[in-house]
Amino acid sequence: MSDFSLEITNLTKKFGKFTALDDISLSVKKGEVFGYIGPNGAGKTTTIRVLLGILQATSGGAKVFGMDAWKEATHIHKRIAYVPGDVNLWPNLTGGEVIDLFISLRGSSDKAMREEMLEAFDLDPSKKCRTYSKGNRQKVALVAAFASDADLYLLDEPTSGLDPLMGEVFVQQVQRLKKSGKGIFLSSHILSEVERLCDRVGIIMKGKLMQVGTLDELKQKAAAEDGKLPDSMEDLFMRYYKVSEAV
Amino acid sequence: MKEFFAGSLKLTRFMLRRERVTSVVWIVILVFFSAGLIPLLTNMFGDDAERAALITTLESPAMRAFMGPLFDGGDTFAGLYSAMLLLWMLITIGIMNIFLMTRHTRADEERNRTEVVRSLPVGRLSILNAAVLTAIAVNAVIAIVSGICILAVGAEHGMDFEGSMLYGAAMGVFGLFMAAVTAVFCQLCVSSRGAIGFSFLFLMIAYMVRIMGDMNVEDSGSIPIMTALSPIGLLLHARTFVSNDWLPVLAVLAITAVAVAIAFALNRVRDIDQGFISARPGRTEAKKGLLSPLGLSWRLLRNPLIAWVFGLFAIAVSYGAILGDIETFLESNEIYYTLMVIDPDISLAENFASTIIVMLAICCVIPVLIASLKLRSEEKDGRIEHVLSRSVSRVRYFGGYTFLAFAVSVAATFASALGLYASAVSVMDTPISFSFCFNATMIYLPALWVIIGLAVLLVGLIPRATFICWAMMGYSLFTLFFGRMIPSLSGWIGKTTPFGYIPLLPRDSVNWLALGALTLIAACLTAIGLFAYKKRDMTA
Repeated sequence: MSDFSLEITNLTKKFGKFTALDDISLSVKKGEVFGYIGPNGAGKTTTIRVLLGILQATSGGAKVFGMDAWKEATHIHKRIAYVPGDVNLWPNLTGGEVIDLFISLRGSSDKAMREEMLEAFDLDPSKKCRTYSKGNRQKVALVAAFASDADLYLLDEPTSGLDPLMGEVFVQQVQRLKKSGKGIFLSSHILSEVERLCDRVGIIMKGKLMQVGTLDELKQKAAAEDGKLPDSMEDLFMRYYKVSEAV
Repeated sequence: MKEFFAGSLKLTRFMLRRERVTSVVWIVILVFFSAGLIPLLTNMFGDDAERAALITTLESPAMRAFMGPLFDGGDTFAGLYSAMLLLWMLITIGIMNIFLMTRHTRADEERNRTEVVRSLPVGRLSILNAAVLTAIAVNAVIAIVSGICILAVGAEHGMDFEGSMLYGAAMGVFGLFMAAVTAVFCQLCVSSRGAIGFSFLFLMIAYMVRIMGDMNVEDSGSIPIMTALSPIGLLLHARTFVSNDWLPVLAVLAITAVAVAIAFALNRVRDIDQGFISARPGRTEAKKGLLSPLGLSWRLLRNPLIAWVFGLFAIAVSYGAILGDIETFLESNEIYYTLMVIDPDISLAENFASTIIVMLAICCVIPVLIASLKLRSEEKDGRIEHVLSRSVSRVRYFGGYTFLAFAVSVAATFASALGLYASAVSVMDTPISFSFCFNATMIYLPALWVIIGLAVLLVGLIPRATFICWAMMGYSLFTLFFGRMIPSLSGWIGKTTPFGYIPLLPRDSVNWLALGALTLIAACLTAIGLFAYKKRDMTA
């Protein structure tokens, strides 16, 4: 067994002529929270879809728990939990039914945990998914993921559509998972969230991985190149954004 | 009032732009079948003897039920032509309009596009209004172009200006009528699939109601009441190319206006994403049956599939109801007996039944395709990753839908057999046997399986082209009708669809080799589709 939850090596993904991911390499260790940040359309979701074995890499590849993400998807999925950024649900199933379905398709189920999460996220499971707002649909996916006992959590902009209160509940849950040594791959726009939660950060722009490292490392690197320490995460983000625009 | 319709014209232009491929294809197909077949048919029935045989067939009660009435004894080629074709053109344009209206109203609403449009300075009723205007434009083009083309091709065969225009107008008006009916169902139902289902049901009822009117009528010049209750029946009684009566067209146009008004009224009072079927609070926990990929698939397909199986039973019952009349008719008309029956051991009722079973088999394609194409719409709606990101292999999930498609093919054909037998028993003195109903119906399974195979192949390999399956269904309907009507054509046209290889029991003998080959093809297509699905990227 490898020490990595996931390893991406020289991953390139093309859709026709468009290069969505260009030679990406990164890895996430066990028990690490990895922040994946970048603007819309940078390739964050595509990366996660390759990790899920829903898209096939054009070249290079990804391994999760040392297994090939494309070929051994079903085995891998027993040990991961995934929250999509844009949650579409079946309009005529209730939230409770969908949560039970998601938990059972993964394998194990923990009734107490399910109830705890429903309470934490303040979700009414008796409503049909058709009637849920975007935030509530997001909660369905979050409850199903956090109520599952996985080794790696792939979270794709999981807090989009949540109110600040629920954003805080989310942070608490991620911290709980982090304490129990789970791997977390968090793609996000919300830089403060990333700053609070993540051990290491990858910045992706236009399909290219600009930087990977701890926050301090990234700031020091920027300071060495620009002669000035970035004040905040936003500064750092804007700096790389400008670099990618200049290319 | 005016602000309710703000921006309608811009939206109409946008919708027409979205229609530039789909509707143009439909228009070309419809115009081709309304005008392009004239030379073919004049060749075929140029000979007086051949024409006489055709007229006798069309005048039999079975064919009256199946194809609609023939006016003035088929004196002119033009009259014969419209008796053979107009009904099917009406049904085809009706189906086109069901999809057209749903696509621009309920389906957009379901996908949250409507709310984006409604956030712009457009009126509350503008989307529906634009969809109606789009339908008017598309149907008007079909009516005019068909009329002109029929006149252009058919003028030398006695097709006059007024008849051609009336023929086109009947098509266009019926298309618009079905668009309006679908618009009403789009307000009532909460899902686009619900709206499509109800609209198809409506179309079928309209077809069946007219059978009752057209069945036992001496042509008295007036329109029978049951026929007048069905817009299809009404339009057939426009007597195109015979006495060219415009009144039915105007009547259907008037009903269309009423339906449009109802749709607007309903749209005005309802909230977005809502229908008129109220939702009760649901389960807080899932039942065990839901908690597997197959359980999920079944839950998603349960309602439409069960409804279609019952629907097919009902259609079969209504077809079977005609059988009683045929027996009575037989006793007094020996000519028909000798004409229709090739094998003296087989009754006319059985001959007629074996012909209508073809229709039932094609109706069975609908639930079969609903099941086998469901996975594609799950993918389009972005719900597939919920399942595939969990411990579920692609083949297992897709296999579940495929299994349901095969299961519903058996259930639907069996329900048809049962329905036919049930009504035959109640209306006939010496009913046709159950084994006849069962065999003659179930023998279509290999053809249905090929359709499943095609659907699975397309979902697995070329997901964007899944519409071909529905086109295949329409094409099969067309070829079967022609294949059976005109034996000289069945040779090649009939053999271009899987249904053409199925024997008409008990008239034909069973060709096990052909049936085996169809099953094998179905199995291969399914296997390739499932395998290809493992290899392809999921699109969102």
